[in-house]
Amino acid sequence: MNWEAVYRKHSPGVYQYCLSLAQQTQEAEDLLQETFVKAMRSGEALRQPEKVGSWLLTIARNLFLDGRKKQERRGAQSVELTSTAAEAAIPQADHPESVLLREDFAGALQRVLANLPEAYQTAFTLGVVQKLNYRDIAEITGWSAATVKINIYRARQKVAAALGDYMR
Amino acid sequence: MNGCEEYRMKLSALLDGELPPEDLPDTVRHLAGCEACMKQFQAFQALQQRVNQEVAAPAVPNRLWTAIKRESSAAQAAIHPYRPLAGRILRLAAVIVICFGLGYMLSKPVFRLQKADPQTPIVLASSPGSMTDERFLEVTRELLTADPAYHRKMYLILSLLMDRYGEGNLQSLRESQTPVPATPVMETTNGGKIEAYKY
Repeated sequence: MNWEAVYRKHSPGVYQYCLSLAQQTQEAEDLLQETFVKAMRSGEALRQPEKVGSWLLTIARNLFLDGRKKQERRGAQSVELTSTAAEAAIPQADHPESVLLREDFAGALQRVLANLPEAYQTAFTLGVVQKLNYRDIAEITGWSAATVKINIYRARQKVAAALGDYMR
Repeated sequence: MNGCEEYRMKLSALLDGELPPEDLPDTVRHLAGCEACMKQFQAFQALQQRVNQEVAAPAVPNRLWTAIKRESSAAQAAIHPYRPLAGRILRLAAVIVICFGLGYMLSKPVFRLQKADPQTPIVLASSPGSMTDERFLEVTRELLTADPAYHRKMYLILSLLMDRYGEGNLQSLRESQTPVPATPVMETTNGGKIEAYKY
């Protein structure tokens, strides 16, 4: 498998997902790195190369959840949210006003997602932001189709309620 | 989940293109008649529009690919340094086991010997100090049962010997001065020839 090509194609989506989980840029970069290293090590195990994108997201999620379990066992304090993750999510723009608007909404979205449970963060990022279909989300997360539907709906409800001001 | 909650979930699925077609008429009908659900649907639509317009995939730092390649190579090297040595040890162990196994098998008969049948028509004579008749029979049975191909050859050899020198009378073989051919050629019943000692 041409891993560099896979990286170029899929790293933005995987990185976006890592940012939604990790909330800090450094942690998201570490998670992205670990995800690709693990994938490259066990690449021969992938039976359907066309599903490499979903597979990478699955690895990222599992690594994140394993890391969090280890932290909880060690009794570590949860990491404080900083604005760095929100800044990383901002696309480049030439016009200053549009930059301000984008910073506002994207940053606000990041802050709202940070306060949601991991299931809703995952559901919103994969379903609403990256627009993956429900079957792929079910494969990535191990949820049933019904659970995917419910989690996306509830995540949407919470985000829409929290960001009401941004949508008027 | 109450009635409206159920419909709002369907509206969320509708927005994602995941509502089953058979649910569409009922959902749209409810939407047309329920102001609260219509407001929720509009909020979902507005949120989706803002996300589409203003949330883009973030730029991934270029240095990360270099770091990934480096770590992947290091991970491979960390796993594999012992593999050649472990492989050699396993191969050596396999060879030793096979040698011992072969040695054991060759030192033992494949099948248990049966006791000499006293009714056997072959009566053998032996000179003092050499193999007893019973032992000869035992060895012969061992050879005959060990290898079917060898069995056929031995059968033919014994038949030849019995024909030429009298049934079971090896004493006459010794006295006859007739050398046993080094590679006797025997005729089979179908007219073919077999060289006895060739496999």
